[in-house]
Amino acid sequence: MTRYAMTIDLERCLGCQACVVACKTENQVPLGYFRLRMRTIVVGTFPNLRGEFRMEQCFHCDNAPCVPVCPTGATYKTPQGIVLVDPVKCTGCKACVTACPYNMRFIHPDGYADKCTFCEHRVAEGRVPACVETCPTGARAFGDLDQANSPVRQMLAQARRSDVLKPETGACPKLFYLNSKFTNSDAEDAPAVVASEMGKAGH
Amino acid sequence: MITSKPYPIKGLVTYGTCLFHTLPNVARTKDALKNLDFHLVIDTLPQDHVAWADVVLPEATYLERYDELWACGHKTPYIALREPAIDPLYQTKPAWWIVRELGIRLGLEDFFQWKTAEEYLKRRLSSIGLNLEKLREQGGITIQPGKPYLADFEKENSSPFTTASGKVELYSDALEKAKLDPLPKYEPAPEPPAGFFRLLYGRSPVHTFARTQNTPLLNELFPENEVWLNAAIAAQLGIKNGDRVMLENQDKTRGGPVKAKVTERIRKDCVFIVHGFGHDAPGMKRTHRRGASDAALQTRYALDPISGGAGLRVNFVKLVKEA
Repeated sequence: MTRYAMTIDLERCLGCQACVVACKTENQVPLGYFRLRMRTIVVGTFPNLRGEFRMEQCFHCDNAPCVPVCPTGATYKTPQGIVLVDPVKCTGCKACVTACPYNMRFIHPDGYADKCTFCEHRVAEGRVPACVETCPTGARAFGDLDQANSPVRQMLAQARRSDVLKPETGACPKLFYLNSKFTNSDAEDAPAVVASEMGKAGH
Repeated sequence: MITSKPYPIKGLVTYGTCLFHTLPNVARTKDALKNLDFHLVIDTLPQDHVAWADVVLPEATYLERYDELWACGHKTPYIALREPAIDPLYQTKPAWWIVRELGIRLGLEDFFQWKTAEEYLKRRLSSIGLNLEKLREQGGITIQPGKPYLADFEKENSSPFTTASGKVELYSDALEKAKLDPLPKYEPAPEPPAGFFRLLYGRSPVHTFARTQNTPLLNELFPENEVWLNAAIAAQLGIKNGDRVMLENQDKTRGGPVKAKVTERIRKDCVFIVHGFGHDAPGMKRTHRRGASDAALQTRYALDPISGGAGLRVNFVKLVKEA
């Protein structure tokens, strides 16, 4: 079975947000709205500082909490494990926005729930998502979690550490943070700078 | 241009340079421009300095034009092609076309033997057995087969350094011969006066120089710069994250208002702003008067006695809370 997944090596991420721009251009996300956001985590006091950038987007969870709550069946999971929204069936009721434990969904100005699609239209053509292709440091990888030699499995095998965000939700995210210093640590309680909030920009 | 020495400069063509952001001391740049009889500006954007032109020739953007081949000789040598994705919009023209047409009108046609950029590029590529079609097939880039730059030197057992010793020289005979200190000593930088901070500047990976702040996709990610201020100092001054402050330098030049970013990521005696903001041109509507310009606050600069390089991080500012 195919189970598409993504890895982001946080030691390679520069925080340049080229992925955000590639995503917006590829998916024609309206100005002021984002499917990706960047969190900047800084720990310590000057000059003893450590930190990391963490890109956040829909995790395409194995047990996606957004799917069963959808009253119209607009939110669904493909046989390849990609969580999608059918904008025609979606009424914009926000049940999924509330159900997502990671706050990765927003209401598109045209009235439907929107989020990262793993660039399903590109994947269908055998290409990788736009954010993966554009990353200047190769921090991102995409592929089939059930295939031993896929890029994501190789990245997972090489990583010293791998995390999914808040594993206690039971959602089983399929986006893995590799070599993260702070994911799921106390550092996450410190105020973090979020460059672009999902949905309407904060500024 | 200001002193007319060693000779007066009366005409200027400014191409692809944001005069009021690239150079320090904007007031001085404006004084220099006032001495011109004629100023032609070629640019893709209605930048601040474009309003100081007698004639503006709007250029097509990089997605609408051919440019010179990009040849990189380092590490892994390559030659890359830039070609238009679409035809130029709004009657803009590529720079090569502008220069050729001006040349013809000045009776210099003989110097422009190629009528189009394609003709010129074709000729250049023919010298390495390539043509435009072949280069396009290769994705617009040709990488020199074989070894990276440094491997050549290893093979020949020679050095990439042109020094007499063939090594990186910490003690430089060349400097000594020029009657300069062969091993420059550290000279401490002056401390900021009381109440002032050294003004540092740098880049955000989102923006390129002073020319992308108005680009919608980049503007929404990074709409204005902030003044980074050490958290302990911010607490002393009573400045909170997001407060708007004015920056005033040692010569009373003001910039801003700019948002304060209270952070541990900076020394206590310095503040930092990202370069390229504080645009004054109304045509740059998304970025018009957002944030502060580092160039405007750099009324002083220091020249390195050996290299001549300009040091711009020699200005001090104080933070003035907005009334």
